[in-house]
Amino acid sequence: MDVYHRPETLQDALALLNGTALTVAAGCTDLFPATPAQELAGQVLDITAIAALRGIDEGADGWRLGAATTWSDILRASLPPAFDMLKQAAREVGSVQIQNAGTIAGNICNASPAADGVPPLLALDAAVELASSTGTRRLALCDFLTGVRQTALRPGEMVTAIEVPRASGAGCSRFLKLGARKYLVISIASVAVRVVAPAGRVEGAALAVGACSPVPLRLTALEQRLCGRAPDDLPDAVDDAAIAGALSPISDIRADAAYRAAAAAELLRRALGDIADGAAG
Amino acid sequence: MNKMDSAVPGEQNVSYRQIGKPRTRIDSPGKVFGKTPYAGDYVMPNMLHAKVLRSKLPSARMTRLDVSKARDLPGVACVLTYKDLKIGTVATDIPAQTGFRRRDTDQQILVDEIVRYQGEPIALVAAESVEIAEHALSLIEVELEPVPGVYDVFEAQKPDAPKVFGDDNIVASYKVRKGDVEAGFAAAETIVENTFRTQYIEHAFLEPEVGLGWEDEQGVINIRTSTQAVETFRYIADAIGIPHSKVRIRGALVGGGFGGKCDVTVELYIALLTLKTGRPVRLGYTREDSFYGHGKRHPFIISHKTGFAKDGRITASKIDITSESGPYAFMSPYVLMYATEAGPGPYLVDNVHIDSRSVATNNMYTSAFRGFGATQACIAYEQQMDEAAKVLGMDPIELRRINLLKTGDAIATGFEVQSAVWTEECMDRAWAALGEKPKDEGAIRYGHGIAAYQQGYGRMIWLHDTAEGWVGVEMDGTVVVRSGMTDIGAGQTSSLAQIAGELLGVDMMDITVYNSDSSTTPLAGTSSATRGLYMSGNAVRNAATAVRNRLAARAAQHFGVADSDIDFADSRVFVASDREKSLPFKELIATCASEGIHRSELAIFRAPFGDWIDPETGQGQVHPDYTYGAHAVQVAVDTETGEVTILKSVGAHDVGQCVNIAAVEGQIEGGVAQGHGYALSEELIYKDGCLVTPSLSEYLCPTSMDSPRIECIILESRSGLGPFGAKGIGEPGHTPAASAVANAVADAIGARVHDFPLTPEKIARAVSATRDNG
Ligand SMILES: Cc1cc2nc3c(=O)[nH]c(=O)nc-3n(C[C@H](O)[C@H](O)[C@H](O)COP(=O)(O)OP(=O)(O)OC[C@H]3O[C@@H](n4cnc5c(N)ncnc54)[C@H](O)[C@@H]3O)c2cc1C
Repeated sequence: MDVYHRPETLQDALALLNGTALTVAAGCTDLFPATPAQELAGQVLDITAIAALRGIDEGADGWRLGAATTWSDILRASLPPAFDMLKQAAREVGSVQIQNAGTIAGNICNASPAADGVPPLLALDAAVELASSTGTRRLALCDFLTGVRQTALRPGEMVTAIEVPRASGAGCSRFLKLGARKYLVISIASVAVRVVAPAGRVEGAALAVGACSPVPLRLTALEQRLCGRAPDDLPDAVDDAAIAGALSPISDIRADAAYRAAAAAELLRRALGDIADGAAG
Repeated sequence: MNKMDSAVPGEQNVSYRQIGKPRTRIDSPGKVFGKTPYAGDYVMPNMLHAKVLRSKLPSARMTRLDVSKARDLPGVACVLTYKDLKIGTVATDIPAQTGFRRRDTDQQILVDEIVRYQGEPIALVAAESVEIAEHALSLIEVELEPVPGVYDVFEAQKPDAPKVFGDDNIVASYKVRKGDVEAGFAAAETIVENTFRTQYIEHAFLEPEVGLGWEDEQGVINIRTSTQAVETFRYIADAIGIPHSKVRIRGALVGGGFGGKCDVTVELYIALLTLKTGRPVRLGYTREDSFYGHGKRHPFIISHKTGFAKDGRITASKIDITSESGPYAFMSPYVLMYATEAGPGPYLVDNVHIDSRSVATNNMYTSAFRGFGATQACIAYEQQMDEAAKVLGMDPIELRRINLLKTGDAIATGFEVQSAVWTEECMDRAWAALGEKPKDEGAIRYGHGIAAYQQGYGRMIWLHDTAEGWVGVEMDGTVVVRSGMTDIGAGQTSSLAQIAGELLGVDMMDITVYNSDSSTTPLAGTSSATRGLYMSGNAVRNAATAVRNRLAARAAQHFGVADSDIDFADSRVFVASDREKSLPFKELIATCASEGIHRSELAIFRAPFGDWIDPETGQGQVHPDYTYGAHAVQVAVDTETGEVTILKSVGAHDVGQCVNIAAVEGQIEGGVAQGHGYALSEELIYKDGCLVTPSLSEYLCPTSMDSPRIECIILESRSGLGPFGAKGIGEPGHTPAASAVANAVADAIGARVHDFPLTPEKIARAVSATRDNG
C-alpha cells in the first residue's frame, strides 16, 4: 500500500478524502478476504481511531449508531426490544473475533446481498448519514444500497452514522438466519421482523429478507396483511408463493433459488411465531 | 510387565504399567505452552521467499511464457520454468520402503506445454521478500490457449473423449470374482439396487504446507518441512538430479495431514530453488495455495446390487466402483484397491462380483485421504444395508447381525482374517449408547443411524513394508528413541516413548524421541495407512526388547536368578519373585557400560510380505490385518429448512490394545468430526475444472457448534499385529462416521439422499418429494 492514514478526527478524514482516491478501512473483515494480495493497494484511510465515529447515542429523535461501531459494541449496548433483531444479527456475524473488529458501516458499505446487518436495519427504517468535506446528506438505507456490492456513496464521501428514528424503536423483534452450518457461515437466507402490537392487535410490522435478492428487501405487502391480526395469527399470513414472487433469489454454490425462497418464507413464519410467543409470555 | 502378546483375544489377564494409560503425551507440554516450533517457524539468515505461479485454466496449451520482467525485478533471486529443469518430472507413487516405484505415472514438475488441471504450477520465484516474490509473479507473461478438457468420469470413458491419461483415461482397474453372483441373485428373495456418490474433499489441515531449505557444508540439500513422509527425499533427489544421499528431509511436528502431506509439494520447489540459488529458501503456502496445490479426496460413484434371502442373509453382492483420479495417478490405483477390497463391507458374502476403475479428468488430481478409499466404500455399503433393511422390513441392526463377518471368516478377497472380528460387539455397544430416540416435535424429526466397517491397517502386503527403530539407554538411565516416523499430531512419538518405557521400566517423560529425519533417524516409512503405531511401534518394541534382554541377562547374573525373573519398573531393575532384590536402573547401566555390554539396538520390523492378489479374481491377501468397529449417530432434522443437528455421535472400535487411551480418543474424535463435515457440509466444487469453493468461507468444515461431544467406546481384543496386540485406529475412527450420519438422516426423514454432502437444501428437497409422493 502506498500510504496508510489513521486520522483522529472526522474533519481530518474528510479532508483526506477530498480529491484523493482512498480505500476506507474499518474492521477490514470484508476488505481482507476481498484482497487476494498480501496488502491493500493504493492509499488507505483507517477510520478506527476517530472516536466520534464509534458508539451509540440516544436522542429525542431516535438513535444514532456511529459508523465504526462494532458488532460487539451493539451486543453490549442498552437498547429497546425493537433492536433485539439487530443484536441477534450481531451475534451471528462471523465469530466473536469478527464481531470485535467488524463494523456496522463496513457491513452496509460492502453491500453484500447476504449482509446480516441489513435486514434488521431495514426493518428499523434506518437512514445513512454520508459526509464529505463539502457537507452531509442523509439517505434511507434502501436507497443507499443500489445493487450487489453497489452503494450510493460518491467519491469523497464516507458513511459517518446510521440513524434509527424514534418511531421505529417500538415493538418486538426477531432475526433468524439459515446457513449450511451452525455458525460462522454466510446466510442462505435471513429475515428480520419487527411487530408493534401493544393491545393484542398488530398496529405495524416491518419485515425484511436478506440473501434472496440483489439488495435485502422489505416485504411491504405482507407487512400490510399483518396489520390488524392477533400475534398468534401472524405465521399463517405468510404465503410461500407471494414471498417467492416478491423476492428474486439467485442460484449459486450456497443454495438454489427455490430453496432460498422457501427457506425465507419458513424463517418468516418462525420469526413471527417467536414474536407471538414472546408477546404472549 | 507381563506377557506381551496374547495369542487368543482377551485370554491373558495382562497388566501394563504405562501402556493403555491416559498419559500426557510427551509432545503436549511444548504445544500447550507454545514452545513447539512448527515447520513454518524456522527461519535462516539470508533466506529467500518463494512463490508458485499456477495455471488459471484447467485444460490448456501454453503458447507463451516470458519471465524476463520478473527476473529483472530488483530483489528477485531466481525464476524457474520448465526450461530451467534438468529433469522435468517427479514421481507420484507412494514413497515405499523397497525403492521400487511406478515409472510410468510421473508428473511434470512445471508445465512445459500442456496444462492438465487448474492450479498446475508454471513457474517458481524466489525473492528477498514475499511481497517481491508476489510482485514478480504478476510480471510473468503467460499465454494459455484453452483446449477441450473432460470433467466427468463417464464422459472421460467415451471413445472420443479428450485424453488426459494414457489412451483411455483409465488410471487403474480391478476385479473381484468370488463364488457365483448369478446363482446368488437367482437364490435371492429380494434384490436391492442403489447408487451412491461422494464428493471432492479438502484435507483442510490447520497448517498449510510450508518448508525451509538450505544447502549444508557437504552439499546436501536440507529441507525442514511439514510432512507425513520424509522418504520423499529419494523422489526429490531423482527429480533434481542429485544422489539420494544428498537430500535430507527433516520434519517438524505437523499441524494436520490426513493424507494431504504424503505427496511431494513444497519440498520439491524448495529443493529446486535452493539448489539454483545456493541460498536458504522458505516457501509457505497460503490457504489459497493449499486449496490449489495438493491432491484431494477422490469422489466415488458406487453402485450396489445386493441379493437377500428371506431370512436377510446376503446371497450375492455385485458392485461397480468408479473413482475420479484427476489428470495424474498419485494414489488413485491404491485408493481404488482399498475401495474394491472393502466393497461389500464387514459382511460374509460368498458370491461377490466387483468391477472398479479410476478415471482421469481435468478436475483436480486426487490422492491420499484418511481411509484411502475404504471410507467411500463404507459410505456406499452401509447406506445400502439400511436401504435393504427398509425394503426387507427388517431392523437395520438385525440385518447386519445376520451378515457380519465373524472371527476366522473370509473377506471378499477370500483372505481369512486372523485377528478378532468384534464388529457385532462394537455395533451393539454404539447403538445402545444412543438410548431412546426422542419423539418428533413439529418440523423436527429425530433419527438414529449405525454404520459398521472394515478397514485395513498397514500397507498392502505386496509393498513389502518395513520400519526401523533405534533404542538406546544413556548413562543416567534415561532413554533415547530414534525413529524416522513423522509425528502428524496423533501422538506418534509419544507412543514410541511409552512402548520403550514400558519395556525398560523408565517413565515416558524420561525418554527423548528423535524422529522424522531422513538422514539421521532410522527410516520407518510414512505416517499414513494406519501404519505408524503398527510398524514403528513394533520396530521400537523389537529394539527395546533386545536391549532389555541384554540388560536382564546382566541383572540376572548379578542377582543369581534366571533372566525371566528380572523385571524393570520405575527406573529400577528387580527380581520379580523377590522384589527386595533390586538396583537403580542407572547402576545396572553403569555396570553394562564398563563391561562393554551393548546398551542400544537398531531393529527392523517386517510386515507380512506377499504377492499381488490374483488380477482376474481379486482373490488373495491385500492387508496384513483389519480393524473393525461401528459408529452410531442421533440427529435432529428440521424438515422445513433441511438443517441437521447431530445430537449424539458414538464410535465403538476394537483397537486391539490401547497404547495411550487419550491418544486413541483423540484419533476417534478428530476422525468423527471430519466425518460429520464429510456427510453434511464439506464439498470442493469444480465447474468445468475450475474450483468455485476456493476458501474456507465456501468450503464449510464443521465448527465446534456443529459437533456434539463425541463418545468413544474402546474395546481391546489384544489380537492385532501391532505392539502388544494393538490394531490401528488412525483411519478407522473416521471410516464409519459419515455413513452413520447419512443413515441417521435417512431414518429421520424417511427418505434417502444418495449424493454427498447432505446439505440442508438436498434434505429439504428429499422431504418435500416424500410429501408429494405420499
Ligand atoms: C470469517 C468472516 C465471517 C464473516 N461472517 C459474516 C456474517 O456471518 N454475516 C455478515 O453479514 N458478514 C460477515 N462477514 C463480513 C464482515 O465481517 C462484515 O460485513 C463486517 O460488518 C464488515 O465490517 P468491517 O468494519 O470489517 O468492514 P471493512 O472490511 O473495513 O470495510 C468493508 C467495505 O466498506 C467500506 N467502508 C467501511 N467503513 C466505511 C465507511 N464508514 N464509509 C464508507 N465506506 C466504508 C470499505 O471501504 C470496504 O469497501 C464475515 C467476514 C469474515 C472475515
